[in-house]
Amino acid sequence: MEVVISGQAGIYASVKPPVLYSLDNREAISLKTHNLGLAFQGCNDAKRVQVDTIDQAREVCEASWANDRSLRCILMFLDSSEVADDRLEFAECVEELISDFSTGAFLLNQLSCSPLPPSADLGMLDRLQESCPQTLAVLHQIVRDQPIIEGVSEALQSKLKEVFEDGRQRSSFFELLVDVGASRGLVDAIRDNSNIDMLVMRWIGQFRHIEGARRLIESWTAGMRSKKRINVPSAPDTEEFEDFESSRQAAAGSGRRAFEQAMKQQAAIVSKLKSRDLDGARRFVDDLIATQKVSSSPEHIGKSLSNLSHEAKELGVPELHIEWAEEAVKANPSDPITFSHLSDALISAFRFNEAFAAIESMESLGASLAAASARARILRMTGRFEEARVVYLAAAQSNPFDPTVTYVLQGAAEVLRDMSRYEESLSEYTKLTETYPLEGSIWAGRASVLMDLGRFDEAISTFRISETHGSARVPKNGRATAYKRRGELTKALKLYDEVVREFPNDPVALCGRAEVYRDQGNLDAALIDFRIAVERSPFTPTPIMGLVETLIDLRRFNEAIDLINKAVQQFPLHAGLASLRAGLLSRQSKFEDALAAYDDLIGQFAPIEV
Amino acid sequence: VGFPNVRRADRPEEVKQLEVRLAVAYQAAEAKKSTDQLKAFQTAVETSEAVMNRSLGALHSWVSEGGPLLVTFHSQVRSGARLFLDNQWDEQRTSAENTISPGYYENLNLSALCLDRQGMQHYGPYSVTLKTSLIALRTSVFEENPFLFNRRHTVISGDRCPPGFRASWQNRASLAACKLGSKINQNTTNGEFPGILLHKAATLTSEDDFVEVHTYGPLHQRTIQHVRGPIPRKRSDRALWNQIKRRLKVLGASRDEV
Repeated sequence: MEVVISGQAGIYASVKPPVLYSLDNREAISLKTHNLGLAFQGCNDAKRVQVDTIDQAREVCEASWANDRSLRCILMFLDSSEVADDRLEFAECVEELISDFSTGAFLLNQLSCSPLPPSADLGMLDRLQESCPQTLAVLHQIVRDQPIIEGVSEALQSKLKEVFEDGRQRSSFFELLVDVGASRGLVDAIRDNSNIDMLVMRWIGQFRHIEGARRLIESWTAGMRSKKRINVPSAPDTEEFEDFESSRQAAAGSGRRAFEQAMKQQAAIVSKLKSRDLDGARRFVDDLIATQKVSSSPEHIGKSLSNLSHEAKELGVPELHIEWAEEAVKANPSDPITFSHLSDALISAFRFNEAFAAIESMESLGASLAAASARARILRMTGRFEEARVVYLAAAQSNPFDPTVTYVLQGAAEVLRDMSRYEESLSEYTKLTETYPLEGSIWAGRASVLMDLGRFDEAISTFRISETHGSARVPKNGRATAYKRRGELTKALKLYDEVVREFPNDPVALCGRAEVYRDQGNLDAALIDFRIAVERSPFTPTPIMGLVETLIDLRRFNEAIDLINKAVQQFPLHAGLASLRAGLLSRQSKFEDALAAYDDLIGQFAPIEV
Repeated sequence: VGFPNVRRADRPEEVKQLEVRLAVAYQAAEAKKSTDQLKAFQTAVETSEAVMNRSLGALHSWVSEGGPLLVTFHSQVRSGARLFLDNQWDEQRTSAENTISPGYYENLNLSALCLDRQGMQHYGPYSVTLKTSLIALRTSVFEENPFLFNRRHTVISGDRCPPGFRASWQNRASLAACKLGSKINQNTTNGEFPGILLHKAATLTSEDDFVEVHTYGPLHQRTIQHVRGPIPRKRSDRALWNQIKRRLKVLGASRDEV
């Protein structure tokens, strides 16, 4: 349903039928459509949102109200024209709102968009030490970053004027950038000396529907990106990437030409990854790295490899996901992000012991939140859900303003799902979507829980929201699965087909499609898709399970047991495979073997040291 | 010369038609033997004020305007531009307003003509009475909600709005008498005038009815004469309300807590 909300006013209204609600529990009022706008007069934050229920609208409105009040109160705290006691009262209100509604990230986003005016009085910060530590942390970060904020803000304002002639468009786009935390993202990256290329690409993708957005983002960040670009004297033009020599020459060309060349190289690598041409992809990456070595620092080479490793993961090529993550660590062993990608790759491949080493390295380099998150993930994957949740929550609490805390909080909500505590998981996800409404993965997580609860219509609409805030792969797969579970197999098949076309190695889409074939009784087609998934995702056990189950459907028990025996050896820590094997043995009336298999299963999941 | 809404209200055809309507209202009152009551009503409305209703947040922004902190981080980031570009849900209203006030409706601030400073609280719990001396020259009044007016008079987009249904601030009482003369009879008391001038819907699905006050251009915080509203329950809202009260005092505005 469509609702209009304003945190400023603390009101929300359904559009059809038009009914007005307030957060302070005044009686709901039915209005005429033409009077709806009157209720929002004087508010400049009213916005339309899609929600499933009116209770959800209330939650969104409440979060928006808390954000609005946090910002007002923190600004009033800095206002020297207010008396000291009132200023401290404002600070305590902020503290309460950060604790109750997690408004810290919102405050950082807002306060990073413009420098504090000279009249802001910082003289009372030390009085917040005891009573308002979270508020103080926000203000400390903002005060420390002032010089960077000033530069980022000046650049943005000047480019906005250049690109958008219409004042409303200018203001509107500025608001969008603030909402997605763009200024803050840049400020953080500049402070931490991180590469901003991924951020820039993300925003360009996110705002591609807005005319002028790309030009603005590129020109705004050009000065910041140029420091990280190849910058060597002139060289001849080149068109073909395959030719190593020509690409090296391009690297020695103008910054613009080098950039275009690098884009072509990356596009070629993506194409090779999609077709699972591992050798071709390796060759292209070798060429890219050789090109970069001409002029770039190890730091940049490490980042390139890390990014490519991530790309390999996205495109379902786990071998190169690990391989390039390892190369990235070798190229730049002082960057915690390279270790973070490596640990992710190793965990995804169930190589937990090796992952621990990478986790320790990233922790020693200061990435404590990512390290804790990785440990929690291993605990999850080994069935130690309660412990995993404790680790996730403790990590989030210790790093409330880290931009990546969203993933940690999502991990905590996912554990509830693992434990079949779906209502609690949904409640956590709902809060997260209010706090981070632009995070596609969180919407997708929420949709998945709705699906677990059998609320398929809501799940499908929530996956649609997710699709507008990030990659389409996960939400499309999600929608397909929802349709499948609702019995609408044709719709499911169509969506899986779309994902497979775009991500031909994606095991979720391949297995999902195979499951639809199974449901339709088309076991041969199912077998083909499962085999492709197994071949393309050798480190993922799920396709093997599907393949085994299809073989069982076909009563090809011997093939099934051979396959499952090998899989259990390959993934000794995967409970699902072990359980499937025990069940299969039992089904074949091999009860002694089945009992032994169940004993092994229980033994495997004895607590391990993490 | 002058503000477009006032110029329009002062056009000869508007003034003439308003006079015709007023004459008819008095003829009808005479027939009902309620001329004295109608005169009393018209006299009362001479003292009427413009009242707009606001939420706490909107009121806080208003009384804090000019403060560099809020301007930097609030007004700038929340300029309302997105609301303007994404207001399909409010098209019925904006389209009707554009028909009644073509070319300048975006610059009009809407309030209600009131005799008791209460306004329409379900559009915002804080009733703000505007200082007559600061708005009179740029304010006009209009018969009713433009959407209902257009429907009642079958005015469609592009049509000319029939004359006689708007007036300058100085002539607001005449317009009110034209519009509401039929609701006044010989038994009507002065105490009933506020409820006649601003009729609050008795049921949730019926319409509120009031004379719309259109004030051209931004309303500075110094246009606030009086604020009437509740003491908020939430702590941060109370902190804002307390600050609003302090600001109102500085601005020389009065207040009631209800």
